[in-house]
Amino acid sequence: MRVVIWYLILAHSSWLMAGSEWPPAPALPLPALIFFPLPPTPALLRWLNSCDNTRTGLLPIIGMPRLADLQDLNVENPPQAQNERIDQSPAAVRRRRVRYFKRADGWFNRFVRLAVVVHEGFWLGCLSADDLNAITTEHNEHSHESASPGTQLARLFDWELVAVRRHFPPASRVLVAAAGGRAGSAGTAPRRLQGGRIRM
Amino acid sequence: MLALRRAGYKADGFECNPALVRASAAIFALSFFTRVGSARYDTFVCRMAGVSRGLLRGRKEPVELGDQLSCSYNHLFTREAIEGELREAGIRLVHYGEVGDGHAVGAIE
Repeated sequence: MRVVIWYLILAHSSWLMAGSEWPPAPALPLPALIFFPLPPTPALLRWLNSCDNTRTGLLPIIGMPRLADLQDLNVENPPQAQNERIDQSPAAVRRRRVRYFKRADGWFNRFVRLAVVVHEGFWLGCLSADDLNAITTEHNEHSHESASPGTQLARLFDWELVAVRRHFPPASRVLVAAAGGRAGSAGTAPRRLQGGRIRM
Repeated sequence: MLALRRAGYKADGFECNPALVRASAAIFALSFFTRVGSARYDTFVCRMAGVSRGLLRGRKEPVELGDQLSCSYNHLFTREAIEGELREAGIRLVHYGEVGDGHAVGAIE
């Protein structure tokens, strides 16, 4: 059952990342999804078969041979390995390594993205709005960017300058909402608070 | 605010937003984080958060598409979402841009 659950999760992630339509069509069968580019070893096949205790067998459905079929397969010396043994020139070895790296890198990045999505989604659903505010507050308190006087006194961003010059009449009065962060100076100039207003 | 003053503006600041709502016939600018409308990443995060919320009964508020939690909690907007929010508040969108930070200029009518 664990095999099926892992397969569904990874197959869904494969569909998600690859941009194909539902139902998912994973590019590689189950062993490749789980163990990246490694070909199925005899030990892995035996373990998968031992997990498959269903009557009809789930492994054929997901593209894996059953234990009975293993007798007919020369799993110790698969055709792919035979072909690769033929060409052992440095150039061929290098090409194989590049291919393996690209495949491993692609699957590793997908795995990392999947882990990030699951982690982020899990905590987003668990934490209340107050919890999320507390996390944000703590982050801002320890953020060098938002706490440094240099940031507080920084110039306007380019887009701010363009928007202000284009849409705000010169010498007009400007209200700065949420002025406690970069946009204002409540943190750096509390002495300028007068009657609930920040005077600069 | 100092930068606005150096640019020749009389800049006042305040921390509570309701005062801004009371302003009339005003132009305002706001910035926000943006996201791509069809990003499957955000969709899957939202679905995962919904499942987690339902199973663990964590937060009372529904999870919205664009919610993001990395170092801090953020909500990412699409242009359509910004337009909808402003329209709902009776504000006309004057300018929208994503160069630099996501930003918009609106006019309170």
